[in-house]
Amino acid sequence: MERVAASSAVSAGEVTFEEWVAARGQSLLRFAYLVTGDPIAAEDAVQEGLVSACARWPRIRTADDPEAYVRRMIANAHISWWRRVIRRESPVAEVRSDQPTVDPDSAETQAVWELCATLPRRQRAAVVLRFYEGLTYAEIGRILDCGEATVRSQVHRALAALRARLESEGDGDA
Amino acid sequence: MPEDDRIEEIFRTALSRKAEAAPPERGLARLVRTRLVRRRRRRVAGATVACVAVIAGVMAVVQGSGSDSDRGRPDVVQRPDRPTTESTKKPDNWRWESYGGVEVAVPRWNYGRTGQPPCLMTGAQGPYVGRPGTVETIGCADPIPPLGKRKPYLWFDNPVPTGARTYDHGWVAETRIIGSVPITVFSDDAEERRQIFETARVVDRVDLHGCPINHPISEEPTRRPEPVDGGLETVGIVQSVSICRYHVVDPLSSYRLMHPLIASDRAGVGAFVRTIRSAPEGTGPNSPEHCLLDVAYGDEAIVLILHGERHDQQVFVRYSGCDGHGIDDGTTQRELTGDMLWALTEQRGPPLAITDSTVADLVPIF
Repeated sequence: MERVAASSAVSAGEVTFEEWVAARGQSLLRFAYLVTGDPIAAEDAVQEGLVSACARWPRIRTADDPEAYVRRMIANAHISWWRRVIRRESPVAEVRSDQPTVDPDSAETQAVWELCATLPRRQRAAVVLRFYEGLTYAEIGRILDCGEATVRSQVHRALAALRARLESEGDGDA
Repeated sequence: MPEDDRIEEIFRTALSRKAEAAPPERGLARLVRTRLVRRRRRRVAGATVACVAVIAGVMAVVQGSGSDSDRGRPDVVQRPDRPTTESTKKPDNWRWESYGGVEVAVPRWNYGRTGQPPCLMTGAQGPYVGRPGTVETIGCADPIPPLGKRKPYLWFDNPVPTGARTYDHGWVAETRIIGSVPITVFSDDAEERRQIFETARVVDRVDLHGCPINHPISEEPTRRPEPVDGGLETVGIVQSVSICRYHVVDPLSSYRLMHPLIASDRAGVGAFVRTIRSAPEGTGPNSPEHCLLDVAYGDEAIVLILHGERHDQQVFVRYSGCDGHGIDDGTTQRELTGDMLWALTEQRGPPLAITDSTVADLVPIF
């Protein structure tokens, strides 16, 4: 609901960049955090995406879906090489939890998070866009600049991987 | 609930839960404005970084220079005029390093990465010049290595506040902005540090290695070189090669920085050119299905500027994406080969991104 309201206002071309960021910033950070798996990388990706948006704001705010535009920039900012350079990061085999968790994750949540850490960046973005943002395959394809079939395949592979992981853990528990 | 629906629901629930751990929105718009202003300032200052390297012309046969008629062509670069200050400002045994539109002279140090975590320093590496690149993200207990493992370094584009940070035993990390590029020198030799910064200067158009600080390949990743009178086949004896490594800009990013390669002055120009010519005609290895279209041509590319006896010729080397890999002189496209990558690597330091899968496949040691 929040997104719809903000998007509508933006489409009307009446919202300043600051107002739009104030309304949508937290949502973008959540999206970026899920895509990157790292709070610092998330902030960096969001800022980087918004820098591009800010520079083009007069045009973007009149677009049909400015939030999709910015999400695309965030996803690509993370996928692209330059983000890797700026963050000076290397892929790691294991996910390190940087934030204290008040409530321990359920086994399923942990399994999903660990699985996401193993996914290629583009596939991870597709999964987040599908299951967190609730976008259609076509919408995801437009954001990630690839075909709907490609997105569908990536998401289905992720589903299969999670299923296998959960079954494996179930077998282990048995 | 069908199995697929159950798995999808697990995804939704888990992601919603994990999203709660996202960082809070704290003055995001202001931070973005600040970043944008800083970047614009950098661009205006002509900070588009160039990188370079030259295989200095060590060929025994040196006959003439590039044809004057070539100089106006789009992808033919005039040889740089040497700044008159070079000989007066740089100690004899030092070399010039170029990055981001600035040049600075340094002692004969090795090469490394900016931001190398101090606790990963083995102590085996000597003093070095670091440029941004992929390094391991790791938290170190101390900001600098223990005394026995400390080595001086110069880091380009190290995003820390300007000023001097002092440590024990006379070690100081000093950061200055030259042009728009932060340069940090870490050393226990105050005189050496002063001398290094004294040589730093902004590059006008082409750096000392013969590389333009801006190149259209950054903005147009699919661009091909301008074939000059038949390209590589007619260049004649090559006297020197400028190896210019550029950042290929993500069209969605505001970054316009180029990524410098390393300078080299070792011999081997002839072998280098033979390596290019021996690559089989064609393109690849490519795997376009592995990349988004936006980044298919990768994040960086190398422009070789061959200074031949008949004319200069640019040769593009692409290796960092999923598509468009190969060696191209504008006339003939050749496949990217391990020999070519080795030849580039041998010129200096770790020039190629180790995360590039194509590079890793062709040169397994990466």
